[in-house]
Amino acid sequence: MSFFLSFILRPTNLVVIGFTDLLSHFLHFLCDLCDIPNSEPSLPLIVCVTIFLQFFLNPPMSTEKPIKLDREGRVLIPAKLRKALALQPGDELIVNLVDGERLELVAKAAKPRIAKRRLKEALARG
Amino acid sequence: MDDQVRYLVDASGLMAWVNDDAGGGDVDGVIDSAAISAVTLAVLADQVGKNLEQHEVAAALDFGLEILPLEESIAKTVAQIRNVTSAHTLSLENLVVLATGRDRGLVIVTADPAIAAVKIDGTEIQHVRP
Repeated sequence: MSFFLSFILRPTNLVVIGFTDLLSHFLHFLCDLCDIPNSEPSLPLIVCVTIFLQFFLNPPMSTEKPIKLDREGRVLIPAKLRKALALQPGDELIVNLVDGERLELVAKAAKPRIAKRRLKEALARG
Repeated sequence: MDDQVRYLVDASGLMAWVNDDAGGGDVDGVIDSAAISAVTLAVLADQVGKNLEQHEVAAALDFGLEILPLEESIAKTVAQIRNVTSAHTLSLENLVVLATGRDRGLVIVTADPAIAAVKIDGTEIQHVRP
């Protein structure tokens, strides 16, 4: 449930929902002008369509199958994930333990920019 | 200190970068080979600490950059720099950054015109918002 809510509440999704809602009202208005029978789409329907499109067009990236840890504690990062992050052999990665239950791999070169975004958001809240 | 580190970015430079202000692009160009002073980190922590929980502060300030400590030798250099910069209005962070840059041989990157106006022999200061 929390994953579902956090997905819905992503700023990009809220913007898409807002635009879709606006567009549907505009189409509804046009249909009324032209005397074309129609029903006004409900917000829950718009939200569902948005979520479906977001998952379909931009599915969350993860490995299809669990990956195994070898005896030395190494794992292989699947090619599609390396490609998504433009990781190259020799790139340095930082491993973070998150909430005591997950590991997060961050490309060292990306770290300052991730912190920049977080700091910018924090300052905007103030 | 990491051999790849060549620049020392101060709080004004970091804020120009974070806010995408004028000169922020210049900071972005050097950030991967930059370090910051522990005092600069304290200045930023002071700014964001009011709005965030402790773990959020840690995440927001986790730049992955080398943090240069305020060592005794740098504290003593601050006194020397104070003498040659008495005509300028500089904060303690400004002085520590200048002293750290001088001691470590780093190029100081700043958006603060007060620091950019300082002349210290053997220390290069890059003003990103001229």
